[in-house]
Amino acid sequence: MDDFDALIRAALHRAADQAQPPDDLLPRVLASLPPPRRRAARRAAVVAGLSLATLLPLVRPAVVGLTQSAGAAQEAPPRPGAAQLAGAPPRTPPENAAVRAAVPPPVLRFSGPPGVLPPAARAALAHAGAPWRIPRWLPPDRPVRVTLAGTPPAAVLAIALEGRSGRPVVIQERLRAGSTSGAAPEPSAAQVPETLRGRPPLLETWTPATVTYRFRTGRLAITVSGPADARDLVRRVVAGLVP
Amino acid sequence: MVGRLDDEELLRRCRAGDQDGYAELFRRYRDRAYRLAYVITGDPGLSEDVTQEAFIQAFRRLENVRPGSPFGPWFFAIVAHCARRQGRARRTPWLALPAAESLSDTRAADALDAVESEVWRAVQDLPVDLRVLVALRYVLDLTEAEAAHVLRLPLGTVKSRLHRARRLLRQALDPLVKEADPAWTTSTR
Repeated sequence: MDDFDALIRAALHRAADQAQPPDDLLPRVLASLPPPRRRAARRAAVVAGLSLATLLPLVRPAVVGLTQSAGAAQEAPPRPGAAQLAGAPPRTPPENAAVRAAVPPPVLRFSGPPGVLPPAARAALAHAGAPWRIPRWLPPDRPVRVTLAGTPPAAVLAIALEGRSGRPVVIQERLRAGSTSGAAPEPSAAQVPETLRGRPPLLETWTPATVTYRFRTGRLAITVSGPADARDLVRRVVAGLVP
Repeated sequence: MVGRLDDEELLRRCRAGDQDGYAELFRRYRDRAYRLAYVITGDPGLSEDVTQEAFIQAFRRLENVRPGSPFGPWFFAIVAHCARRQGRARRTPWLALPAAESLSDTRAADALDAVESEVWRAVQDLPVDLRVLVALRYVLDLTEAEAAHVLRLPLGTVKSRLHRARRLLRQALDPLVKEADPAWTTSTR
């Protein structure tokens, strides 16, 4: 390693020393793992070459969101997250109870002086209706489905996090456009995609827009992909959170 | 107790669902994973995302580690993959909160001197594939052969990419280094 290599190495090590991983990373990672019993059973079943029908009871919560229509879903047992929307405590698998208990309570985190939320954060909180439930233990960069439905001004923007299988993991928050702070523009009837008009804000409704919701310390970043009309609409509504 | 176990024993415990095993494995590799991700992504927030995602991916696929194979190279390959993906995606325009926008990008640079800051910027300007190699070589101090093993690339490819990375870095840094030490270029080329 010559002097030039040594210079590069020293500079990169110095730079890397400035950034430290957060302390709550481990509980977030552990809580994201499936319960050991189900994981082991699934692996054993795969190894044994069992059929999908045999596996279905094991992965049923994941499959429900994919296979049931919106109407049929009404009769289905509540999925994770549904109880939270109704105000009830979340149903936690017993295997994960201890881990989840160790997870710091979900908080909306922003960079800035301790205890002082930047105005944009306060506006976002007020708009969403505190407390904004941010499940920090969920891996970032999950695709988020956004449902825009109802007749304005009662249009509801529902944001859900999706698991790997595509099922909603938890209902994160329901944002009523313009209902609290007025920061978000209310979409007019013409702005609501035709495919969504009149539909109830059910999360199993696939929308023409996919929003990638990213939240990490100090930054709220949202990217939107999908057909242009839906993309523009979602962007306008979401942009209202960041005045 | 688990701190004394070797990686293979920890892997065995993790596969059995032992939370202590996961925690110990995490503690052993967290800092290196984060540093690797930080140099590749250039952003503390993204590094946090990458580290978290890499551990989750690794822990969910532990059965893919061949018996007798070391955990480290296998895991760093996952970190590098996640970071490379983030590194490619970081040109996406973000809607960012104004109060928080500039903090993460400048925090590290502020603590470095002028030369180190220039090196940091030059490394961040490298194409992501070269940045991954530079990070493996200079931050994790892997040999070229070890880096090739992690990335599953031929050794010749790793050597040529590292050569190209050094050449680009020299081009970017030559004026600065010459200013600090006029004898630099003749003594190092």
